[in-house]
Amino acid sequence: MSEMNPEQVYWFAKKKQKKKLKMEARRKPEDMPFTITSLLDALVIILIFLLKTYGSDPINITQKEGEMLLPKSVTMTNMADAVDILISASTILVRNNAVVNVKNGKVDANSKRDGPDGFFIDPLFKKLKDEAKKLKAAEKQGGRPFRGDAILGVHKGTPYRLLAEVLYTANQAEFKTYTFAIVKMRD
Amino acid sequence: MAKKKLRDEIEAGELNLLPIMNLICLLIPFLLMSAQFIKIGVILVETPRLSRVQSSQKKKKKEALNLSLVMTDKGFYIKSRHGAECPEGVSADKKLCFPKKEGKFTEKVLRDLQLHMWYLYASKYKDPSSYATPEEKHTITLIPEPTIKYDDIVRTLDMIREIPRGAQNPPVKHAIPTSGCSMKYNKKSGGWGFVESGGVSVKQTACMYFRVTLALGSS
Repeated sequence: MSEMNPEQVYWFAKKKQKKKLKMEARRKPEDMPFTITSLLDALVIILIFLLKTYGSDPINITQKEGEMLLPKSVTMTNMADAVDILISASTILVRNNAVVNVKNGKVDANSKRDGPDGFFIDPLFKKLKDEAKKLKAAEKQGGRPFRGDAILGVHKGTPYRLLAEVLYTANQAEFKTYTFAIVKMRD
Repeated sequence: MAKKKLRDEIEAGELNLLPIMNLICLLIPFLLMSAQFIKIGVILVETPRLSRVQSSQKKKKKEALNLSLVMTDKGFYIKSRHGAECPEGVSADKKLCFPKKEGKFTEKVLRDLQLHMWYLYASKYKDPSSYATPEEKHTITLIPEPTIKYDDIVRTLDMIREIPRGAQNPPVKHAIPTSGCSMKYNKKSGGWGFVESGGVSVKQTACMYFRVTLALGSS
């Protein structure tokens, strides 16, 4: 075996050093393990906060620009459980089920019992009557007494005429206590 | 050697937090998507039919004041059984007590309305003999025209419900609680009552016309 010249010796030494460094770098994670405990603490705090904000209200109203924006109010009265009726810019919903369409702040005359000038909205009445029946049946089974409470979530651009039609129809379907859902301006 | 053995034992006993981390990382986006960061409250209203049922149950000895607030495309008009209830110096001929400013129900218009309602509540009709029943002192009929926007109705409801802070005619002699005229639902009785602040019901210290009956005005 021929002897190595100094250049080759230097080259081999450098290669050996590089290999050693690589090995050390690979071994480092074992020596200094990545601790996730503090990260876990932060995540648990976020989780508790989110769980606290989630589902604290009896109904959930999703705000959407141009479709469903609740007006703001200074009231601090909290919601109580009741049947929710939502009047958005395009639909009237009862318990998140679309009941009748709305166009330019009006319900189609075909959906009204008494024609375009009438207040009685047929599909809404049927749906609310069904809800009243369900709640009364639940009362007989030992559930909450039926009191005819309704929460109205109304888009802030809705004309009063449409709201009056919904209130009139709800009244006919035995829902006689109304609360208007609003966005609280103060805590 | 003994130290190394001990270290190995401790390392073997460490909790594996990765599964719970995975679970939490999945839960957080789900909750973030469904969470509602805005606080939703409610305003109570009554309808004429409901009011009629309630009032017919009571024997009327005195005549009711029948205070009404009409919302038109031009502004506010207040009336009672005595006729127009506009502020002094405002002609009631046009059936307009507080006209809109630049075609809007501005904060100034609403504040002026609130101060005048306070005057009617706490000064002009302060005496219980002006009303048919004690509850009527807190009762008003709101009559918006069909074209009035819901947002303006809610802002008006706020103004007629709450006693105005800093009112001078007449001055408010008590501290108004920060909670304002807020109510709470009694699950047992199924009715709405008032929140207490400092041991006193806010009905006495923060509320003006909270019994609002909604009626429909003609356009």
